[in-house]
Amino acid sequence: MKFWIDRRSLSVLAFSACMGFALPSFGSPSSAQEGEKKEEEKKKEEKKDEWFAVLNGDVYTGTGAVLRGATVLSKNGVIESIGHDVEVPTEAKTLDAAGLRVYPGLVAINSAGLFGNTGGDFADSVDPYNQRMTLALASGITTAGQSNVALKLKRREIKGVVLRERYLATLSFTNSNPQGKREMNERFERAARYLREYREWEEKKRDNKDLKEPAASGVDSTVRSILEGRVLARFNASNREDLLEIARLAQRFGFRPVIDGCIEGWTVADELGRAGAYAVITPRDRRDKEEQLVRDGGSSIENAAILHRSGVQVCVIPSTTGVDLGGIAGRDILHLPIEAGFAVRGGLTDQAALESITIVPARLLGVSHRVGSLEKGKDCDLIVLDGDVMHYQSLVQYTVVEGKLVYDKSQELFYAHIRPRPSTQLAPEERKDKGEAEEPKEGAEAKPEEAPKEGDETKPDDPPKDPPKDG
Amino acid sequence: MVSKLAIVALGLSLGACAAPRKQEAPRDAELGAIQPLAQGEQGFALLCGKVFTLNEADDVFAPGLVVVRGSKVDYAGPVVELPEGYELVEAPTLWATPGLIDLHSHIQTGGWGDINDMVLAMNPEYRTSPTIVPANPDIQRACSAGVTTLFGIPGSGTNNSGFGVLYKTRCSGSYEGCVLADPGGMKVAQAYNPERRGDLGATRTGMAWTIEDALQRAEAANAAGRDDKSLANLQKVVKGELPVLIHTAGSDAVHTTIEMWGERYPATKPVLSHGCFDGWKVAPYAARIGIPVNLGPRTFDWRQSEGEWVGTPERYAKAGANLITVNTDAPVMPQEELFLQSTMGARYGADSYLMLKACTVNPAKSFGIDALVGSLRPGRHADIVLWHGDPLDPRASVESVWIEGKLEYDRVRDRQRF
Repeated sequence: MKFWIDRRSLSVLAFSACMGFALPSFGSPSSAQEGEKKEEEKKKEEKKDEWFAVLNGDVYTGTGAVLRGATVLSKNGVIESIGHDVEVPTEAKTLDAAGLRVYPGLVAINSAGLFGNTGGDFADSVDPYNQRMTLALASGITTAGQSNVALKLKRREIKGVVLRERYLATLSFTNSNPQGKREMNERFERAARYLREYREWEEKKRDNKDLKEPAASGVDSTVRSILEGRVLARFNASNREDLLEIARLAQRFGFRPVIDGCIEGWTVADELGRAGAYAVITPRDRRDKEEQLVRDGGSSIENAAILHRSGVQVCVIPSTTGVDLGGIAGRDILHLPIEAGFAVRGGLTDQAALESITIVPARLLGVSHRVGSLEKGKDCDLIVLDGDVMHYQSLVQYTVVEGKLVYDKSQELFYAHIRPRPSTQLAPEERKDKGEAEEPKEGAEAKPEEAPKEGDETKPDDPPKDPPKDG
Repeated sequence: MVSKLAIVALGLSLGACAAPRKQEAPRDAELGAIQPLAQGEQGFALLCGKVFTLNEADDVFAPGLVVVRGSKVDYAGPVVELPEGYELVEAPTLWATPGLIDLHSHIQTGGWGDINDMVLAMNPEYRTSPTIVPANPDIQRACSAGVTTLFGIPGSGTNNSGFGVLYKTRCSGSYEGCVLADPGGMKVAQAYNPERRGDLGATRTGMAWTIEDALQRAEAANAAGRDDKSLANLQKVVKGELPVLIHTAGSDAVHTTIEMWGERYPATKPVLSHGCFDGWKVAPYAARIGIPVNLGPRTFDWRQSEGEWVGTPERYAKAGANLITVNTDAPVMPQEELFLQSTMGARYGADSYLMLKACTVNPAKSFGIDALVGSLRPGRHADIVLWHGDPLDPRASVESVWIEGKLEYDRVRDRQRF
């Protein structure tokens, strides 16, 4: 855990430097840092705290709780409190979300192209004006993984974009490469043996200070990190046999595997559940069962639901992890909640589906202490929608990242013309779409009035009062 | 069989597909009347939370009753008393719609093969029907997503690779058991793919003439009363006896298509298919000529210069286009995701009920088969889908599908396929 705290304080430092306000009391700064700290404190006196509050929204915290008409208050980008009796400082900027829903910003485990034409060195090469980043923010994504880096979508800012690097270590462990599999097994054995010997040595050296430290040579550092719990092991596997082998490996050596693809996971869900696996799945993945097989096989729309019921943590990602501007809608990164909707179609609960695009990917990226749910002390990354986040006609109205409004639907061209909303205090003017003033023709099939959208709370239609008698 | 219906509320958002019109007094002609069962006749009734009839009055009944006698719909309307002998299926949390229809599909072969012969630019003597593999896995998945009627057509590698077949997505049975009309219509590819082919060259100029030349030959044959076997089906097309689905896209080609088929050959029954990219710019012209538009699988146009997300169905609807329908071009998009084409149309600005029409009654009307399929009206085929909520919501799975009164898919019996 020490590792995390250090990283956390580092990023807070970076954040503070950028914002010019105080360093909260995190970690234990060394003496070398003290001079810097004094400077920061001076700045604190000069610079006031930045407050931001989202008022009156129905807050879906992502932890299972729903607070109707509640307030989310952010101080310097971090959630200060959530509730009904929150005192909002007079100087706070506010956003009225009455009648709207507030969710944690979405987290995409994989993405492509959202941070500009970067060479992998995101801290130096991120393009915070990239249109695709704005489109991703407009579809609710505030944190995304790319090239094994967890990144914050910080529009118009480059500091604090990198949240965490190399938290996932990709391993290959497949029956199609028996040699590689055997070697991987040996690597795990060697690393496990080394760690066992090291712990023994640590205990024994209290009595015998001359005891020699076991040699770490020949121990795979990645595998060692996995066994020490500092990184997660990631596998790309979909075949039942491969999944079973990974589950066995994980149980034998005591780590929790992350499995990408996992198409046949539903056929071995219990084993994966016992291994404490995470599954990164695309519910619409399709694979026909091999005809000669008697047992279950191939893909199933119920995959996510069955895995979840067996205790596997499910993360959902669309088949296209980039932004598709070619006209095919509903399959790319901008439709993350639509993809999660297909998991619900197969029986996943609404709550687990929300978690599959928020807190679970946050865990896999190693940033769940900062993002993935709305909780006190976490980053104030949230989205405000005009309905259920997984309803196909809900559009993101506002996106807030670290207590700053970075997207307002009515103020940007992208989606403003689609179901325009009445103005609120941050959107005093409604955009007029030039050249689109024409009213639809009378009697044309397109009816201008939009069907009223109902929420989750809608009760199923009342049972008929006078059912026909069964003949 | 039907007693296996799970009538469990799924906590779904019972969302958008709301009735555009309020319920009025029942009209027998629209809703039908329940006939008593004759000796040996089978019949059943579905008592549903919501029934979308897709009839001329756009009636939606909540709750509603659909009565099936034999292979046809007898009645769809408010809940009334049933005569003796009908089996009652109670599904108070489910929604009923007619089976969905896709006019642009290539899954009849069970894969990518066999869809384009690539011999000449125009091969109007060809038919798709010999390539049908009944009940192939794609067809079964389509059925389990509520898609019951398909127009299985040749590809767009040449201007014309023949005539398509209208068939039902039965999960069992033979070719005879699934075919609705053979040929069901012609497929033409006017632009945005067949450019590489053509004996007159590889440009749209050449292709426009290649197509028109064939039409003129067919017209001449008709005028002379000649019976030319290789032109027989094309002769029906120019007389308007068979519809024609035209693969076209972009404002340039869409314009050419409307002008050629809608204006110069007014006797034909063209349906403009794809119409994507910036094709929506020609929507007012399509609306004026009244040509049906079959949109998809691209449902938006990204106006880079404007930074605007243009929903294609919304723009055609706004221009007053007649008979908007959607397609998947399966297997370009999975056939089971036909509803999602409507969903995306609705997400990007079109009315959700219009988008439900776009995959049910409108394709039937576009192809002149609305007396058979596309709505829950008396006398229509009993192609019925029961959904766990709004058909356009990806979260709402299909519980059961009947094709011509026969239960072809049941989520519990067959295990959930999609």
